[in-house]
This record gives sequence, C-alpha cells and structure tokens, in this order.
Amino acid sequence: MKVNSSDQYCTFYLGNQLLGIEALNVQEITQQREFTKVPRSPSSVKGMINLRGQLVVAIDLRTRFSMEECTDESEQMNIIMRVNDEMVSLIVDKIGEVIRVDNSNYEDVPAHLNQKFGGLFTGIYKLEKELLAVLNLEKTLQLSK
Amino acid sequence: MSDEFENEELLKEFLTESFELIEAMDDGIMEFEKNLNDKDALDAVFRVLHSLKGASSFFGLKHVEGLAHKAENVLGLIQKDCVEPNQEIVTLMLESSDKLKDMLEKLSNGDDHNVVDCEELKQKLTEINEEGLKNSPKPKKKVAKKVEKEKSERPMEEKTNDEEDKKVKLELVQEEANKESEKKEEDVQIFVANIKKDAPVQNKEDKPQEKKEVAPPVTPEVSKKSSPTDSNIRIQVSLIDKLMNLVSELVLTKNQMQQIVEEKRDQVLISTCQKLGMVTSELQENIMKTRMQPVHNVWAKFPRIVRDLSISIGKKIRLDMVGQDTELDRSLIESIKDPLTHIIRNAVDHGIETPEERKNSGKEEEGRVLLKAYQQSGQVVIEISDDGRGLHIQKISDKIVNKGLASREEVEGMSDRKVYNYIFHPGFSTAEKVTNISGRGVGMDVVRTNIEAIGGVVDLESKYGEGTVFKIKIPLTLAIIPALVVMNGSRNYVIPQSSINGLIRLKGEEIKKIENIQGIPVYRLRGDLIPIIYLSDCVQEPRKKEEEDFEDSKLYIVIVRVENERFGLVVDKIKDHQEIVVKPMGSQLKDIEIYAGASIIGNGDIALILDTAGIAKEMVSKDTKKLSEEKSEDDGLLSGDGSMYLMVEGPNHNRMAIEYESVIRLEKVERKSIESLADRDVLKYRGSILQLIYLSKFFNIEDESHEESLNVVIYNYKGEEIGIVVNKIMDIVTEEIKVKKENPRKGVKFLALLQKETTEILDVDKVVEGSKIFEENTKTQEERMAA
Repeated sequence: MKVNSSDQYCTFYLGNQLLGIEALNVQEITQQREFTKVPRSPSSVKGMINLRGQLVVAIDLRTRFSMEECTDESEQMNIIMRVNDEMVSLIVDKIGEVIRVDNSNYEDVPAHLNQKFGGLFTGIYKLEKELLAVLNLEKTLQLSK
Repeated sequence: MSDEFENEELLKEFLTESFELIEAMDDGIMEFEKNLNDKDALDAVFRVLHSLKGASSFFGLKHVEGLAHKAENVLGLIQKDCVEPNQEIVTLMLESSDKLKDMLEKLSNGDDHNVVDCEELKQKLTEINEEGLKNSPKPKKKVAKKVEKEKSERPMEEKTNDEEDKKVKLELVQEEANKESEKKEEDVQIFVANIKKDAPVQNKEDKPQEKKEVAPPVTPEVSKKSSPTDSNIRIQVSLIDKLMNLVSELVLTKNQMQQIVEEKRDQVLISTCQKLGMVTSELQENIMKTRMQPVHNVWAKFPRIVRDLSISIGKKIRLDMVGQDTELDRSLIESIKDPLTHIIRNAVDHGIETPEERKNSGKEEEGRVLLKAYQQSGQVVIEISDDGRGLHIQKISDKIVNKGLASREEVEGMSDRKVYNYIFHPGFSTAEKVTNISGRGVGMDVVRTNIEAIGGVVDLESKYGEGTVFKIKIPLTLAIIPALVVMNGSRNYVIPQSSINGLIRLKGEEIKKIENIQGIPVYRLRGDLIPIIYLSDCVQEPRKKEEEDFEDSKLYIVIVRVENERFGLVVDKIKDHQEIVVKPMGSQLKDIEIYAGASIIGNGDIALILDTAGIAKEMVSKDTKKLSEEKSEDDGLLSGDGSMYLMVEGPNHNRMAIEYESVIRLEKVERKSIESLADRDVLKYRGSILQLIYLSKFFNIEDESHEESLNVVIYNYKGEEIGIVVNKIMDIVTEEIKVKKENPRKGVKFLALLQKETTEILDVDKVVEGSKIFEENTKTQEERMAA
C-alpha cells in the first residue's frame, strides 16, 4: 500500500522505534500531563485532557502497542490529531523531527516488525540512519474494550 | 449546466427557495382538495406558481416557466370563476408540483432539466385553459393576460445569447421591471428575500421562521430593493455553530468566575458577577433558540406522503398534526425524519384497515393518523397514533416464539407491553406480505437504533381493534444543562437535573433503612420500594473509605428517574448544582453505556456525565444475572430479562404478585375516607374519583381485616387508574420466573416460583373486568375478537 498523499511526516519515538504520521493530520503537540481518567474505558485510553475547552481523548500508544510502561516520562508528549472531525491525542515517549520522505525509499512492512507491533503500521521508509514506520492511524484508533 | 450563469450562487438560492415553495404549494393543494371552495388555499398555490414562473424566467429556465405558467393560468381562471374546481384539477396540480420538483432536482444536480417530460400535462392544462377562456366574460382580462405574457417573455429573449455579460442582463431586466412597475421586480425580490408571504396559512399561526440555509449574501443589486416587510435574515449555519461554542465557553468562564468570587467578601464584586451570570444565561438561552426549529420542518412532507400512499393501496386515511411548532434542536430534526417516516408508513400500510374492514367493525371509513408533539420535562415527545387494527398480541407472541427469541412459556409470562416491544427486535416483522413500503423486517429496529443514537427513547402502546400509539421522547437541548455534581472516591461525576427526582441523606443508624431483597438493595421511599445502585459498582471503582465512627457515617442517595421507573444511586458526596456544558466524548468512548458525555465543571475539572438510562439498563441485567446464578440448579432456566413484580398478600394470606410495569404507585388509605357510590367503593383521590376493587371480593373471601387503613395498589388499567385493595404489600422483586401452572383459577395468570415460593401472578386486567365496575355493555377483548 503506497502512501501517496503528503510526504511530510511528524515523527516520534516509542522506545527506540521511530514512528511517523502524516503532518497534515497533526494539529499541535502539547506536554499536558493532567489526564482525567475515564473508568471502564478501554485500557489504552489514558484519559481525557482539557484542550482550551475541548475535551480530547488521549490514547497511550505504549499500551496500544502492548508495550511495557514508559520508564522515563520526562519527554512524554501529546500529539493532537484531527481525525474524522474530532480530535484525539496520542501519547508518545519523545518527539522527533518533521521529515520529508522520498517515495522511492518506501517498503512494505517486514514480517518481524509487523508481528512486534501488531499490524499497526502501513509501511516503512528507509531513512539515512534508521527506519521510519508509518503508523496506521485508522487501526490505531480502533480500540477494543 | 449552470455554466450559463455567471452568478451560480444566485441560482443555488433560487433552487433552495423553490423547493420550499413547492412544499408550501403541496400543502395548499391538499387544503384545496379538502375543500374546493377554499379561496385562501387556492391563492396560496397561485402565488407560489406565480413566483416560480417569474423567477424561473429571470434565470431563463423556460421549461420550468412554461409549466408554472400553464398551471398558474388554470388557477387564475378558477379564481375568476371561469373554470369549475374539481378533483381532476387537483390531480393535475399535484402532477405539476411533482414535475416541477423533478426539474428543480435535475437543476440542483447540474443536469439538464429539459428532459423532464411534461408535454401531456401541459396539454391537459392548455385544454382547461382554453375552455376557461371561452367562459371568460370580459375581454379586457384577456388583454391584461397577453400583456403579462409579453412582459415575462421579453427578458427571456435578452437572455438567449449566452455570450452576454450577466451584469448587463441583470440591469436590462431591472430596467424592464422598472419601466413596467409590474410584479416582475417584486417577483424576484419577494421571491429571494421573503418566502413566508407565499406560504399558505398553516394552522392559523404565522410563526416567523429564521432561515439559516447555507447561502452567501445576495448580490447587491437584488438585495437593495428588498421588501420592507422582511424581518428574517439568512445566515450561515457555521456561524451559528461558532456562536454556540463561544457562548458555551462563556458560560464555563462565568462559572469559574462565580466560584472564585463566591469566596471573596466584596459585595459589589458578588453582585456584579451575579448580573454577569444572568446576562450570560439569557444570552445562552437565546442562542439556543436559534438552533431550535419547529417540528413542522420535518412534518411538512408527511401529509402528501400519507395521501399518496393511502390512495395507492386503496385506503382512506387522513393525517392530522398537532403541535407543529414544538421546537427541537436542528441537529436532531434530521435524525428523526427517517424513524418518523417509517412509523407513519407502517401505520398506513399495516395499521389502518381498508375502508370495508373499518365499516364492518363500526369505524369510520376514513382512518386517522395523528402526529402530536409537545414538550414535557426537558424532553420533546412525539406521538404517532392511529385508529387502526392495533397490534395482535397472539400473532406477535407466536412470531417471538417462532423466531426463537423467547420460549412459549416466557412469552406467556410477559406483560403486553413487553411483547409489543419485541417489534423493535432486529429481523422481526409480522407483516404477512412484505410490501415495498414496509414490512421488510429491517424497519423497526433501525427506528429504535436511530432514536436511541440521539439520546431518545421510543415505546409503544396498542389496543387490539382500536389502534396503536408510538411515543418518541427526545432530549430537548444538548449543550448546556443544569446538573448535579457528585463524587465517588475522588472523582467527579455529573447527573443531569432532568433525571433527578430527589436527594436523600442517611446518617448513622438510618443507613440500615436500605434493605436487601435477594441481593438487591432497595429503599422504601414514601411507600414505594425502589432499587438501589451503587455508583462505585457502575464505574467499578472503590468508594470512599468508611468513616471510623459509625455514628458519623453518611450515605447519599440520588433518586433518579428513568422513563417511568425510579432507582436510587448511592454516591459518596453530593457537591452542588451547576450549569455544565455538555461536551462530546470522543468516538472511542461512545460505547460505554453508563456515560452520556463529558463536561467541564465549575472549577475547570473534567467530569463524566452519567447516563441514568444506561446505568439502569446495565445494573438491572446484572442483578438478574446474579439471581439466575443462584437459581442455576433449577431445570429449564429461562433466558431473557427478569421482570419486576410487586409481591402482595392477598385474601386468605395468599402469596400473590402483580406485574410491576402496570403499577403506578402504592398508597395507604384510611378506611373512613372510602365512600360508597352506586354500590361501589370509591375514593376521592388526587382530584378525581378512584374506583376500588377488593381482591377479597373478587376471590369471594370474607374481608377479615378491620384495620383502619387499607393497602391500595394504584394500577394502570388500560390508561385508567384503578385501586386494588390487598391485605399487605410485601416487596418488589426482579426475577426471571418459571411458570408452574397456567390459569389455575379466574383472575390468576399463572402460578410461579417467586423468591422460591409458589406465588399467584395476578391477571389484574381480568380482575378489574370481572368486578364489573364499568358499564355492562363494555365487551372484553375476547368477546370483541370473537365477534
């Protein structure tokens, strides 16, 4: 599946893995730490945050990817996305840079990565120093109970 | 294609308004159909056609203009008594309306509207015109007609040249109009700026409707000369939504401010803040009003639908509408259109009988469907009732069993209302034939889903042979609601004021008042037993730690109402009443039934809004699950929800029970306040007379008790309140029961194990009928069915 829309990606880290989402969808990045927990919500929902009067659901990506809990929260950030007319926040370990990618470096997801992260990627870009995995936003936001 | 016109937006506006006009025209035609001498209705239709004609010529839409013109002529002749109004003309008018609609639709899709064939129609109209003209007494009128025709044709000639600059065309037309000072110019402006004048008088009320269609501002040339009576403006929907959001924010900020100010001692500051509060509330109220639209907007199409539908299947049906100006938030208006349409079509297709059937059952040949809307305790209620066949409980029961939705025993044990509610079950349809109108079995459950999706509920009642009533209840406003802030542990939650029935605080010893019946905590509230639910259980989070000193421990119960039932919600703390802003929760959380949304409370914290209906639904099924676990040793365990039963002690100390659904309330009544009226015992009760029925009398047992007060169960017998006198009121229980024996004796539906003991489940309806407290010639259901 080729990614053919914008070629700018907002990147971030989960552990050592660099991930990216289309910059077009990203509204802002905020450090907010006050999550209001929602009892009985899916496990990957960390809670809600109050973004200037708007309530945004924050999804802990580590939990979503069934990773261990974050040991170093000092650089944790919220990436506020706009998807389907509503806003949602993705909690990530660390923010990377905005990268422009070259489609010629695109590859499908290798099997081992796919397994490790539960099919939540759409593809990989080979960068100079590392691999950039493109997040499957739609799948990420489909939370099970 | 609309390439011809430089100003596409003007055309868009023309189309929007034309559609509205045609709807108004339909109303007029149908009014006219009911009474062919109704001058007003005729005038209304005439004006619409006239406006359409004028405006369509302005845009060079010859095809539209041609048809409108011919139709208008016919009506004009009727107005002058040159043509006799009759049903054929009505039909032609309706046909014209349909053709015009088709043309407009083609135009709005950017297709060629000239393909809409109306030659035959125009021919017929022309024939009538010519006939009428022959009857025309004064030749002068003819000339006037010709002149008018010329005027309307001239601007068109100017337009056939596509190359010409649009602005020039406009000016030319305006010059023409100015010269003639005839209706031409007014046509365009009145057409564009003021629709209300053309709409027929509806329900003798002239309600100004704010128009909020998406439309950019009209070009200056046209709007400059808008009619002085114009009191409406058009603004973009997005602007209104923005205003709504801003006002919501304002309310939040005001709340925060109020909290801070309340702690200060400065009187001036406090009173100024209060003033701010009042102004903000009023501002909010009025902005809310801009979002409200009358239900009529959705209902407008129904009379025509009913008419056409009933004619096509050979029935005579009339649609009456009451409360059309009841208002509803615009976002909800669209959502109820489909459910309403389906219910109405159902009523027409299956509910109302054919004229012969109706005659044979002694009804009027013309069936009646009534659409009623009104506001009630923070909700909008829409009722759709028909005087048709009503639901056949046996057929439905059979269907339920055949579809495997419940066993025969369970169904026999269900109340009528419960059985009726099965029609909302997916895949359920008792229509013998699946018509292309309704009966596909996909309708009713979608209706319920759609209504519940907007936070509403739908229910129904039916009397076999008499008709059916559907009731839809929808929340009134969405954004800002008064609510109560409560806590569980350290978290804040919010309960909408509209759901709250009362607050109770139990201290120390009083806490024992919460009784436990088979694992379900209940509380006796003024004679009623209501189930108790712990908020901590709902959210699955621990409560605040118990106080060390028992004396000081407090328990707070919020009495919550869900439809006609109540329950008590135990919370750790009740904070205060606030106006909160309802915020959407995010689609990831929509499925959690116990929440209705989220909000920001006064101190800026986020608090979840509890959905009392969702809580009731969940907790009730949980309780019955618990019960069923205990009873698992029984064989043949029933599936399905447990029902609520009122357990009483009847004559001879017999264990009896009444289906709680039909119980309105419980009363203790002084013997001395009972009066005797024509050999019956009655009671002056709440402003009316309550008939009393003694179970002892019905079962032919001596009334041994001579206590001063009697226990009376106020029962809903077919809409009326009847008092059933029992020996004692024991409990309210929720159980899935197993029928042990059916119809053991008169007045008893069946024997069942209730709380592990044999209990007689009463057929109260039969008891009432058997007590012959109504007129002798009132037939029972069976007798009528047998007829």
